Amino acid sequence: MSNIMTAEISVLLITEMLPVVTGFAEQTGKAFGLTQAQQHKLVLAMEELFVFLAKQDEQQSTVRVTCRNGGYYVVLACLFPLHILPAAAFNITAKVSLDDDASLEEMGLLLAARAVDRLEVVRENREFLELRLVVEKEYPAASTGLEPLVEQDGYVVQATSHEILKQFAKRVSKAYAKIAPAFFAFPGKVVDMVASGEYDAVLAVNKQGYVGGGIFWRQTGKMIEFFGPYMFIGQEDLAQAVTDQALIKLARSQALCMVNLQPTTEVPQDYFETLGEIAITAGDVEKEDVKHQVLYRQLEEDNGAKVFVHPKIAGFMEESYDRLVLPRTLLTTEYAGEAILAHSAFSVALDWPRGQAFLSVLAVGQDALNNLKEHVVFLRQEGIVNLFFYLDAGKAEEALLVPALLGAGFTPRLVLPWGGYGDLVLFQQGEVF
Amino acid sequence: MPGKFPALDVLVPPHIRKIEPYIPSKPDAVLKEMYGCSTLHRLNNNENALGPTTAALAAIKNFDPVQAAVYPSGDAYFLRCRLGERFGLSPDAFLVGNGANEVIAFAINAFCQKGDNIITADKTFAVYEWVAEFSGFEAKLIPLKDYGFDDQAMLSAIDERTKIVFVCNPNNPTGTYWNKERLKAFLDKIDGRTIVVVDEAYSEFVEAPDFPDCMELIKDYPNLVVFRTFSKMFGLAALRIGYLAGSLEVVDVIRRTCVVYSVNALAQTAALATLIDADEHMAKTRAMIRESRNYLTSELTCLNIPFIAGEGSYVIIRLPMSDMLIYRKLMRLGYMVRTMTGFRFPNHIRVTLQPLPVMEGFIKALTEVLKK
Repeated sequence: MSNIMTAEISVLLITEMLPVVTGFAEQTGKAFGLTQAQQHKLVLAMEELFVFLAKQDEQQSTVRVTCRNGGYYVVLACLFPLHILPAAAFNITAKVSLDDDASLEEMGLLLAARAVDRLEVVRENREFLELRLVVEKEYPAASTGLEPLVEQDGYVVQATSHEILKQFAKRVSKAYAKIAPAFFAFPGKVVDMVASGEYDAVLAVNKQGYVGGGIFWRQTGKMIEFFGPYMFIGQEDLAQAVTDQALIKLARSQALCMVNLQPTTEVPQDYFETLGEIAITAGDVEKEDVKHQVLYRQLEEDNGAKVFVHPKIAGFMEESYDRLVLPRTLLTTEYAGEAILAHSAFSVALDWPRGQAFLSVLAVGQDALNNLKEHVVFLRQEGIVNLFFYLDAGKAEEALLVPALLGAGFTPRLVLPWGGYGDLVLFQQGEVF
Repeated sequence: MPGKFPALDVLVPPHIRKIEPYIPSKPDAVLKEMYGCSTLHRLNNNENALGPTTAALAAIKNFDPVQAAVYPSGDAYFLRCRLGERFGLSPDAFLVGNGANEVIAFAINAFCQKGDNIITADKTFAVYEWVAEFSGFEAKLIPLKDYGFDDQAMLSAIDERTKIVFVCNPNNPTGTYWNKERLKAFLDKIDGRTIVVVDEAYSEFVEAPDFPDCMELIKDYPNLVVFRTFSKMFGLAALRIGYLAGSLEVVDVIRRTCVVYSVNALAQTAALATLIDADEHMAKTRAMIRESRNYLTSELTCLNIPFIAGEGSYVIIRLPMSDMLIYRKLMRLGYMVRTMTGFRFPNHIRVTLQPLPVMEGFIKALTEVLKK
């Protein structure tokens, strides 16, 4: 039986239905393996979200609430008509004033966001929006025992199995503690991540079942973010073999491109292009500040695209496209007094263990500069030392944000072709070492 | 009032949701503008640089435009009759399609139902795999062995739900082929348990004397289905016309899934004329390909660049950089090649063999981009 399961209810968006949706959240959370404390988080978040939405809705709309077991997480999603929600409600910095009724109403969404591990906003189509409350399951940290690798030969690239994956996670966690993502410290979680279908791996294993190295990735939309290759024995050709096999596996997938934001030294350089360099501040005395190249590879031929560029970064964009030999038609766009929303809204993807935040825009509004500055202050206060912003150059309205981004201390670092709807421009905030 | 947005999450079947649509390359004029090149040599689609045969050119030129108002023969009647004469088979042993891709779909849809599978290689023409998967059937992919189809592994992979085994002979893109003896041995071992499709899209380019004549084998192996096309050797790629041949009983089954009237009248006329001077055209093209292959492989050897050159009108080249990057760099210089990541050969490109001056220009461009 698959461990991916979904449950669904449809209810009227009225406060009288609150016990139905919170009961649903609790029971599905329990059925899908959340602890009591995690169930409580999910119930609290759902309660805040539902009450908040009900207050916004004057038409007693029907909402669809689904709960899905994603293997290593549970996601409770609420699908509702787009008109219900004011965009500004999403800002993580949304202020709450006890004297302001409208502000108090928005607090519900803020509380919902903070009760869970992630709040995702997905525009399903022209008419519906989906808010997803994600709670990740708890896993025990890796135990210390690991057999040393003595044999240098006999490793073959193969499909993964649970025990092999767990061993791989442990070895990554030990050998690449400073740069590997935190999830490798939880081998059981890595197994469930792969089982979810969102992540995958190619590993090199010998006859004794020892893992000599491997490569790990996740697919988000049309982009693959890959991690590694992590190699535990000194065989250069093995890093190439796992990379080759990963590419073969992805060759006819839905992905258009691959990116590695923090490559290891073992990555076969001739398989990838360098997009640029980013600096990562450790923010942890046990780790080091590092500058590293961002590596990239397309999986399909590039037949060109139109990109929307603000004049203030046109030089940077032209230089990037010329260096990357990418055929792009640059369309200059800037604000010309047209009517735009009063309030901007940004989504924030947080990686607490690495002190990183990736911002992107949900709504372009007149208050973008101040809003971005508030985000910077808020996130820095929360201990986030690496702030990035993804701007989608495939969307004309996003180009309008460039002056606000520059004004809030963001600098364009690199272009990530086909990373979003179109190419993404990665901005980094603040002075880097 | 605008209509409601369709409930795509309900309407779209799961096997379609996971498929990425194939996006063909943009027209040459657009590509030239995008990459800033004044000329564009198409070395990506294995088109014949010599074009259609002389008789086909005349037939296209003389095609009566008024006939555009009249439906074509729904099942390419005259063409099937002429193919029957050429290969010594009944006209009913042929089905003509809008390119060979269409006949692949006819065959798969005729024999597969839910739970069935097809078998082919992992590194070969992708359309067998794609059609099977977007039709909801499993495609079992057998790794190539020494760049060729692995007959033993394919036989071992057959199960009770295997309906068709696809063999690309010669293989696109590696150019390897099964000789007559090996193909017959394979068919003997299959012993009618499945349909065996031999895709001979590039067979007319093969000069090796031991290359099998599958049209002749149909008499002995009624489960054998042969695919051929007018797009490659005969230069009618723009008109989209290909065909399959097999035993009367098997073709009769495939005909049930066949879309009639899918092949236009101009394509039928040009294909019919092609058969008048096909042999002469094949000889000229083979000479050009031979000369071009010898030149290219000799230059690549001098440059110490690994390559795979077998039969067919193409060579694949292993490069010390991403094939996607070199594609873009070569496009700037006016040479369009086929990247091979999609064929599961990362960092390889496939180059169509064309007359010597074009290949000389290609080598110059390749040398330039590798120097940087």
